[in-house]
Amino acid sequence: MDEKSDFEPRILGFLCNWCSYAGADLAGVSRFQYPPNVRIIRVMCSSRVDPMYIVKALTDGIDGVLVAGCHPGDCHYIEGNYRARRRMVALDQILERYGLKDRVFLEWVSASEGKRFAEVITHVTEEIKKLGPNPHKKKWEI
Amino acid sequence: MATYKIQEKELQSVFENLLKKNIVEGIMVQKKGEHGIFPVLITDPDLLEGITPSAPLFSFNRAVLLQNNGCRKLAVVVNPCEARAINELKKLNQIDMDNLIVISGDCLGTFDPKDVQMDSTSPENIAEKKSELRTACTVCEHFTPPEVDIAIYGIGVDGGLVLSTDREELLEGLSLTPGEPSANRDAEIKKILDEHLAAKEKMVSGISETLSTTDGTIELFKHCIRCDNCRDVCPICYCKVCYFQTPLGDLKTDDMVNQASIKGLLRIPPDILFYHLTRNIHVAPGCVECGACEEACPRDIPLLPVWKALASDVQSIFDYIAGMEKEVPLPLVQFKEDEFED
Repeated sequence: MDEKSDFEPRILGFLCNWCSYAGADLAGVSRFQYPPNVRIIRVMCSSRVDPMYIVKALTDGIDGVLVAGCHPGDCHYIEGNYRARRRMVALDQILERYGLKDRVFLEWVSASEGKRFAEVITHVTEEIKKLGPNPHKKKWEI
Repeated sequence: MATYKIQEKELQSVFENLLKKNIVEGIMVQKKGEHGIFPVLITDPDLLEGITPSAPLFSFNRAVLLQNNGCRKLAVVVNPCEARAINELKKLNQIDMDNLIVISGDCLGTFDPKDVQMDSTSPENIAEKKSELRTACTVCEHFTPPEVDIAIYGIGVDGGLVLSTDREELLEGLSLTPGEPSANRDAEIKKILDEHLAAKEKMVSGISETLSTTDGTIELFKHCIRCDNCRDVCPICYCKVCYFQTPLGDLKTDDMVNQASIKGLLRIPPDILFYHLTRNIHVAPGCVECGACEEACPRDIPLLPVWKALASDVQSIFDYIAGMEKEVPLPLVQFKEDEFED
């Protein structure tokens, strides 16, 4: 039990350049508090995230992955986030079989939603804390 | 749609007609030789003697060989799973269908020529060996031809076969008698399908249990030696340069030392689960469930149940069946604005 209560998850965040990354920026400028567990990678669009990146991170032992993009309809590239959504749905189906589905999140955060960005990070961190560490972190056999 | 009654022997004249009229330059079909039945490519109509188009054999998915076909026109006689892979590759822009005539027939299951010596292709002979069918065939849901140029029906046909085509110009000059499958074709298909679905259900529930735990997943893949055979024989895994052939994915000794020094230890060959999961996410939306990967695996990893589970999971949420129709777009290249909104 001790291990779990001290557990500080490591979360990888892929944020889209136009909305979510700006949202994260706004959260910082506005000094909203959110857990420091997320490591952010800026991508030009949520559809730039190949599901392979997520799978690579998970098999290497990351505790959670967050992909955040513009709200549907607001994509800078018109339709990127719709495509990302389909890909993530397909990925979810596969990860569900491998018992890793709950560790992957897709959220929409706009550039003006600094508050929401802080809430999303808090929510994701809490969910991952409940799940505990990624079982693949300690397994080196495959 | 024109349908004709035909005997198996007469199929040879159909192929001969295609070659002699220069509709195609060659025909990919199976032929009986002294050492067994082999897939061949025939360009000389005289050498069509002795072909066995309906021999129920599957040694590899022949759609792999048709990728990036050039300008030479070909007709191919393939199993339904291979025909579906061809349709899927067409959608992935890997096959030029203008130069390809696909002929496919009802498939009651195939054998691995490695395990079963075929002396005769008569149905009785096949029924005798039923227990030796390839595993993929015992759980197959799409054993009737998908959308192809010439479909050949054998299930629910009284004596002989029924040939069905939209492209009547391919049969020009032949005197064929019109005819249709009998009324109980659908019922007979349903009967086989129910049997296969029950077997599939069992297979999928078995693998679900294994995959659901981390230890189960490790047990499943632990003997993998990353030979990449499953990738090479897969018709849907079509990338010309795979990530695992690039410097990032194909780790050399120095890279492995670097990787190892992160955790202090590295399992070699590295990235086994990453490799299989990557193939899963890339192929599942288009997997035709032919089972070639499992048979190509030198370490006997049961890949077929994994693909059965994942392919039906992914394809069913998009309401898509890989390769059944030529024009329905791939699930991951289209979208709707109001879907998956939760």
